[in-house]
Amino acid sequence: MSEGFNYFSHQSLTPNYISGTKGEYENISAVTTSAACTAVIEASNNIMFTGNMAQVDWSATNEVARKDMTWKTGVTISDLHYFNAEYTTLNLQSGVSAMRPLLFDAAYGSNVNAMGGVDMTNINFTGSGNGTVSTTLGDEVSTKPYTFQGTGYETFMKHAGEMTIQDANPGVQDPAMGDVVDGFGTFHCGKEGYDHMSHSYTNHRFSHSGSYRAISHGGQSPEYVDIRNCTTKMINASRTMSNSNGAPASLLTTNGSYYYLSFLMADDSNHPMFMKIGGDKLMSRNCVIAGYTDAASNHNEPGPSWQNAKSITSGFQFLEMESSVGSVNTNHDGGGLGSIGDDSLIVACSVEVQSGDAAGDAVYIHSNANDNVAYGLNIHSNNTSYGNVLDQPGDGTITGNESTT
Amino acid sequence: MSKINIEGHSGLHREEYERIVFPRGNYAAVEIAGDYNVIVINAGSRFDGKFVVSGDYNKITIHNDVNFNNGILIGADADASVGVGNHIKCLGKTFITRDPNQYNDHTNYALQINGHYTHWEGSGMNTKVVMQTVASKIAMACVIGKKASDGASLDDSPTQWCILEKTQFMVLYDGSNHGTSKYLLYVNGDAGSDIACGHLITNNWFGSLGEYDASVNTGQDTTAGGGGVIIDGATTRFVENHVQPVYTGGTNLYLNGRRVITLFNQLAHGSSFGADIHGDNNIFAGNLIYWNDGKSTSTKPINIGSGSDRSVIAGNRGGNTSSITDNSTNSSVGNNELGAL
Repeated sequence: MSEGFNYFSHQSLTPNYISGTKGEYENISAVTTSAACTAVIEASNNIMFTGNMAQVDWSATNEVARKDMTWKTGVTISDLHYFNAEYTTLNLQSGVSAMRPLLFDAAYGSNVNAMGGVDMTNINFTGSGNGTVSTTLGDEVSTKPYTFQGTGYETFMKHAGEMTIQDANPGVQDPAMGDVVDGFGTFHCGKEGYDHMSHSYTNHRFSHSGSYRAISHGGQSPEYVDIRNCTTKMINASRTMSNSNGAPASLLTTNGSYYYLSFLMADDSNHPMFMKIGGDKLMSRNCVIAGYTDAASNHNEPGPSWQNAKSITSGFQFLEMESSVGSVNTNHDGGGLGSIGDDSLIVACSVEVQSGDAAGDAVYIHSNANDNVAYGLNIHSNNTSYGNVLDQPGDGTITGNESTT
Repeated sequence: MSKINIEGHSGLHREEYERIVFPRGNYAAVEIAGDYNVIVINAGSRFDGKFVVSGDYNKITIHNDVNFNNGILIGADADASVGVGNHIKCLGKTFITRDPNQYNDHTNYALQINGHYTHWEGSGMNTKVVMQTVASKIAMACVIGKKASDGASLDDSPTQWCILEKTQFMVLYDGSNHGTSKYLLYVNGDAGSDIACGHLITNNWFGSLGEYDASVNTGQDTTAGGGGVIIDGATTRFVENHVQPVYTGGTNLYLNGRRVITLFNQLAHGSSFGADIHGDNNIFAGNLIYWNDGKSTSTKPINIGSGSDRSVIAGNRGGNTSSITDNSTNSSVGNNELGAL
């Protein structure tokens, strides 16, 4: 019989105990300085944070890889959190409120696991590529992907505040953007020109110092990113991000390839598009757009959310919901699902558009998208002329779809 | 004072209904023989012996940066009723492999799942199940319902109702020899591939990730035959996976089981078929089969063998050739977009 120990006694007697002691976690009640965070991460392995944290690993040079942090129920954070170590795993328990950006700067191989009802504003996975393939059976075999996984729609990736007001003057930008006051995007993976953290204008945190990792060199998008199981939401897409003349998307904004989106729902979200993706080989599966709500007249006209070459969108449920019962003052009339690259598929999706107009099509196969498959779609709309599949190239298999009013 | 946690150790665990924590450390062989335990494996742990779960209904959570260097067995080698209902969940960087120096001459697996109702849940691409080739030997990253003693199935009592998700599987060239046959995943059913197995295999990545590069064929090109994924077990769903690498010598997805549903996968293929369908009543739809080996311009992306009756193959995008091979009977094959990518 092994010798046991009392976990709770261990915790209560040594609330700030930091060592490689045996046990489930090494408990940290609170850390309020960068130095304290760094010390904790360097000293420990399974780390349980239980209180408020000002910053985690807010250090340009500290890269302590392969740490496992659990943020216990009730943890809050009061500033942006910067992670620069590879294979960092962050486990967020239900009840964690991380209403500041979580920024992973070339911290390849990192996992964020949100368990249950966790609140976040955004997650920024950045870095360039990350497709190193080793031919030896080493510890670094293959690539170092990023992963975010919630547990379901109860896991929230939502802004409490609006998108930051666009201003062409770098001097008036808000360096704190991305918090509860200023929206920033949800899953934001370094699309150049949309990245507040990394672009070259002054007054942004990371542009001041070259000692940060990839983030300091401009918005770079990693490859191989898996994002799943949560609800996303953005507020007031009429306000676009500073200096970019653009707006991020509710589900994902990136320039990279090999992105895997699963079981995401943009619920009651205000966005010009739900995906903004520059790379190929997207797999978007079982995602839901449950409403684009913009009662104001000055919203940005939404457009199609494009997938690029060799991508698959399957099981997508596109619902244009009403902002209130009986009102159709909410629309995705500029377009819905779109394909703009060769050899892609949109299959087995459901599209519901009740306030569409000639400005857009429910499903749009762009003239640049040769040899696509659009099959098994069920579209219900107010008008089947644009509530249908627009097949511009005419050289794919666009068939087996149903469009009704 | 009551004990709340039991400390994990090498060797046999017979506890039931307990909470067992493996502190960070190095372990020899471990067997979880008890039932209904909650088991936590702390970050940074190493298991140099085989990790065996022969008990039932355990919940095992594996934290970041944990290595299993001599494989994992869920269940028993020849009995699917042993080690049932276990849920293994990884949270971060997890590495499961075998020591090539200890390979036998028959069948070598990194992850062997034989117990019914096993739920293997990786953390995503960072959970890696990896085997290395060895001359004249067989290497398989993962098997379900397959014996290590002789490589055979569990016959008339196959492993059933497993979920395998969010994990990356690889078999890598060792730098000198491609070995004998090799598989990323081999799902056995009964001998006739008829008994419903009911597995769900979803959201996985197969092969070393990274785009194929003809100039770098040592790590990705396994010319010695075998293949990527073999599904013999009937009534299995293979959904939303990414078979990324190139197996130039074999078929990437071989479907022998009956009533297998294959949806929405991205499948690369090499000098043999991307998907080779032989079971009856298969559904194969919404898949992208893309060619990334320029060695042959005549290889079909999909082959439907004569043994397959009443299958549905529709809505796929297949590369390389403008047609597929269909020798089946009474199948519905149509609405596929075919031709060079």
